[in-house]
Amino acid sequence: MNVTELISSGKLELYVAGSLPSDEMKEVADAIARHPEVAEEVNRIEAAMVALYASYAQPLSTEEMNNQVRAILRSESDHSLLPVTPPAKQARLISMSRFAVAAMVTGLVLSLALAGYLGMQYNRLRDEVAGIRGRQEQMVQENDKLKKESQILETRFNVMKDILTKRVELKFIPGNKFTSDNSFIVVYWHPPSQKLMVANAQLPDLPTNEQYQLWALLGNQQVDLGVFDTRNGQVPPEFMKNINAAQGFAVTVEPRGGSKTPTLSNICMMAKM
Amino acid sequence: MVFRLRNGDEAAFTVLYRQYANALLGIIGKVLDGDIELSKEVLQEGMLKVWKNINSYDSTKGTLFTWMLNICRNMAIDKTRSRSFKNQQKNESMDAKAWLENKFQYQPQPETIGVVKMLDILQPSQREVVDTIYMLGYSHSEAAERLQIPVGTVKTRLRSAILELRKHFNE
Repeated sequence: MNVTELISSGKLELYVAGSLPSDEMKEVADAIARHPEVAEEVNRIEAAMVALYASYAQPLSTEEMNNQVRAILRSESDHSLLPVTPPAKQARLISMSRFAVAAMVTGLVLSLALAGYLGMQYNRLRDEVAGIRGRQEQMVQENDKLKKESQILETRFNVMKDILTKRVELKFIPGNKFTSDNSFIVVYWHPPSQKLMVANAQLPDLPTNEQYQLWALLGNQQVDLGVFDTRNGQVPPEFMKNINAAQGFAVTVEPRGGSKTPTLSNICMMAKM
Repeated sequence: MVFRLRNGDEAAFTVLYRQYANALLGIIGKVLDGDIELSKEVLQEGMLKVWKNINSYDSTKGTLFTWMLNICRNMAIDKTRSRSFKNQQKNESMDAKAWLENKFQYQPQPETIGVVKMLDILQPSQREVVDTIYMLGYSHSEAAERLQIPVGTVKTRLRSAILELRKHFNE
């Protein structure tokens, strides 16, 4: 398509409207760059369209145009649109807006100061509340622990005071390699409730890989009553078991976790009833 | 001009604004149903967008005027979607495009007093092609479909309309 054909094709009118497919838009743009007569034709088409659409509305006055341009260029620097108003009115608005800006800045500074103060107060109170919550949790834990200890003591006391409770004192087995004649262990057993507890003991502490294991003796059977550790020779008070029948008790030393059957060579304490 | 605008030349922007403001205002005003104050506001917002986004203008996709026209027309269409404008128009149920097309149904109407009767220069068949292409931003094939005429006729009518206008404005 030569220049004359292009001009008369109607494409340039569509190009000015931006209504051609993108490849044709590019072709026309290239033709404009290469042929001054095409560029001139496009300018004339555009001028006609501009004049046509300008006739659609009451034209802006020079003053309105100046105000808009000023507002746009100022918006570029302060990023806000300014109202389009006549100069006198605008001057008043500007002075009012200066006052408003000053008031806003003052308000902003005061707000920031207040926010800072409230923020500090908030942080202080938050720390205090966190501290109180921590202490409260600690007290709750201590209370739970005391309650548990109190229940154990109450149970022990109830067992010990009962006339039906049997007091059994286990003595060391001569020749064993763990305990001596200074060692003892006293168990209280209350057959009606089946409760059994260690009332007092004096046993050597064992290495960490070993534990004492208590057995109930019944005929030829040894019934496992569980393992326990000692601390400074004492058995923890919470060590309590249930056993419905026993003719005696024995203690062996077993690997940590206990054994299914007693290691006979490790029997260190025993009592028969 | 584009080079100067891209370099932040405010004098160039002032020239550009003066050259096109009234034409853009005419198109915006048409979209916004003659709401003059709102049209001026949209013009200012549109030209601000032009000024701030001049680097995104691509000359291979049309003239600077076309690009500005698209920006301003789209902003005006966006305004028609705003609740306040719809309330003002009591036209809430109609979507923007349908509303805009409805506006360009050609019926005889008196021109505003004081506004030059340029449109009288054109035949109604020419006016509807011109407005469909330039105002609504339709492609020539979309315009052909809307006006139910062949694509070739769209081109012919558009060209004859522009030539007619040029007789009055350019030559």
